[in-house]
Amino acid sequence: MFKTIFKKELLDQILSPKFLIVSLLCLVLVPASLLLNSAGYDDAFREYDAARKEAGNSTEIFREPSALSAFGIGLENVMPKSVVFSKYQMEARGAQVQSEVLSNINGKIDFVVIVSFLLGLIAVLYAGTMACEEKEIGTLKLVLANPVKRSTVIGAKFAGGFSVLLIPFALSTLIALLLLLGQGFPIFASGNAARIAAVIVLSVLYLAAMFSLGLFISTRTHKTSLALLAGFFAWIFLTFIIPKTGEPLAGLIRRIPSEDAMKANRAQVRSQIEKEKGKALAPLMEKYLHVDGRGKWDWDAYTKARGPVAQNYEERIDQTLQKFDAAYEQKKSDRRNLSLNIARISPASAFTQAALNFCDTGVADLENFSRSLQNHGILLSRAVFKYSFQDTFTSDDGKTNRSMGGASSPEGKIDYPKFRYQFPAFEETLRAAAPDLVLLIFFNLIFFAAAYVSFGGYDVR
Amino acid sequence: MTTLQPILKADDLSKRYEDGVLALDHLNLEVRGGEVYCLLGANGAGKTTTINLFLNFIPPTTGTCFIKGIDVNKDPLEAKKYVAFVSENVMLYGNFTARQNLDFFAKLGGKPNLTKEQYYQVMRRVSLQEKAFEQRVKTYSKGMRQKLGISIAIIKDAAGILLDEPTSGLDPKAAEEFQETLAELKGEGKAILMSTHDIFRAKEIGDRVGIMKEGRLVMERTREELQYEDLVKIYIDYMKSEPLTA
Ligand SMILES: Nc1ncnc2c1ncn2[C@@H]1O[C@H](COP(=O)(O)OP(=O)(O)O)[C@@H](O)[C@H]1O
Ligand SMILES: [Mg+2]
Repeated sequence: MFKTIFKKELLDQILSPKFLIVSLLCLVLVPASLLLNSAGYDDAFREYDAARKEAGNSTEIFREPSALSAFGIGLENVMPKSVVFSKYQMEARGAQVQSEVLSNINGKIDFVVIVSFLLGLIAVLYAGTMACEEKEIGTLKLVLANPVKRSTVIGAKFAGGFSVLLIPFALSTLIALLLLLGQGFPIFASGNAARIAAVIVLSVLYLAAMFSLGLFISTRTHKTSLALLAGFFAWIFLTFIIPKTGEPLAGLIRRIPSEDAMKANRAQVRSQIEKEKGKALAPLMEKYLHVDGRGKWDWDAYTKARGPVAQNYEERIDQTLQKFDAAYEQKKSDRRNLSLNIARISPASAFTQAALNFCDTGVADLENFSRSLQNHGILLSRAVFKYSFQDTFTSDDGKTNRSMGGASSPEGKIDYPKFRYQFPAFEETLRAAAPDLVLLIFFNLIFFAAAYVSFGGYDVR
Repeated sequence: MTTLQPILKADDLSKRYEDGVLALDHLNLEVRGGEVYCLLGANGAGKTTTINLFLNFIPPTTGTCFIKGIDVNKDPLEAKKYVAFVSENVMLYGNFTARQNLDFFAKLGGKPNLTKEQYYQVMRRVSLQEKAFEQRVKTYSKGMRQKLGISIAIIKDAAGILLDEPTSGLDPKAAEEFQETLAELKGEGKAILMSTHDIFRAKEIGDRVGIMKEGRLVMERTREELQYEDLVKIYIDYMKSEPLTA
């Protein structure tokens, strides 16, 4: 019985015009977006490579673009292209591509976007008519007048209908991958294949969940027009409204100071210790660096003598700022996690989050990159920044203000620490994506169970 | 030719819908093999509800439907092996040809190994044009679809056949052919329960005729009895009389 209905669904769907339309859409969009985005990656990589070589030894570092951003751009353009470090701070550069106004307004089309938006919608609408259309054309009664269980009917409908949806998806993906391979895209390099496979598995899971949701809607309605409308609203709610409310909602729940306020705070924390340092160094300034022509100006002696005195303060500044930054990062990360968790109510959001992590352009990468920067900052401060200083003395009445900066000469050449961005390992990504993977499986079970139960009591008259 | 045991039997059958409408009020009827039972009644009398109860599409409020002695509510899958169904206005699968439709429903009905010739035979039997056999059903007229619907019921070769206004939408010639088909099925010993608005045909083909009003079977006559009575007059008198539930 299952096989009979399964085959019928397969044939019926394939013969319908919507199958042709969906196939054409997939066959055009999936390969085109992948080829375009991989070309974009090539450009970005060339730029990165040239800039890195040109910069040589410096305090500027460059982030290697993610090859898999060809599949999901995600946060690729939000993360900085390069970061310039200086003592106690860093400055990100080239985070937004300002020439691409439209892409920033509308979002770019990539594989992950095609699956989550377009195919997600198609899955809901495809399944959304499966039960009620048969009621409309009167065949559901004819089918159920036979010795066949309703559970068999809904199961076969899911299997048959979903298989038909997977045909254009699988075909267009396969063609796109072959084209990419032909273009020399590193599909089989550095674990990319496993990541691409993971994105495809996640896509299938997500689409299955949306398909079951559509089936459920179909068993709650008695008219195809109504089912299509309901499916469309469900899709808007899940792919637009919920993901977009996550951030503002989290912002309301977890208030944190703005980036500007944080910077002002940070400067104040720093200047407090700088003041203390200036006071401690004042006698040395007085001794070696006269202002009023008494004695001789002995810069070398000063830089030598200040070291032991300043060291204590400079270490304190380092540690305090690191703690300050970590605390702020933690707050931001808490809020981000809250917003991501709110968004996860939507299968589309769970899918996007997990898939982008596998594309090396997700939140896990943002955090990983930020950690790398932090570590590199510490290395730089140990190897480079410790030689430069800025001493400021301000008298209590504020009338005297002396500031001098310079560099104590290091013994031998400065050894600039090398920076090479390490993408998270596959296992690490898997761990980061695990909650979303579990969620997607959960959505599948819930939605299908709902459709199953609802169809069991579906009024077929 | 008729069997002793009824193949279709409604026992004290009532149905009250969720919105409170009492669609069926303690109905009792029996159809034996080789017998045609015609249910007459105005729109909303409860004919479709009766047939839906036989097919377990809805649960009864009281009473039981039996198909070949099997309680439909207790063992619907077993009961449905022995009943075929023709509904009014069925569209069928428009993307499929007539034969593909027939094939699908034959398999569902437990006939997995029929040949193309067997499908053609059944379609000839309901006098569907030969050239339409391999045409997509979405090109069909209402009458052609109805014929195909009847052939779907025939091919199941079940002991009981339920027909819900099968002649609505058929032209006179097709209706005449349909009546012949029905007579053949009756001759094969099928128990046929048919709801219809066609009083004349009911009188001609029905071994028994029941008139329903507001969910009750208000009159039942055998073929013999009807030879001496005017069914049309009886029907109209019942329709004109006061509502039962005043
Ligand atoms: N799903 C339903 N919910 C509520 N009332 C219904 C439903 N289906 C039918 N009815 C009511 O039950 C009564 C009998 O309907 P039906 O069996 O379709 O009559 P017939 O087939 O004789 O025209 C009517 O009053 C109708 O309005
Ligand atoms: Mg009716």
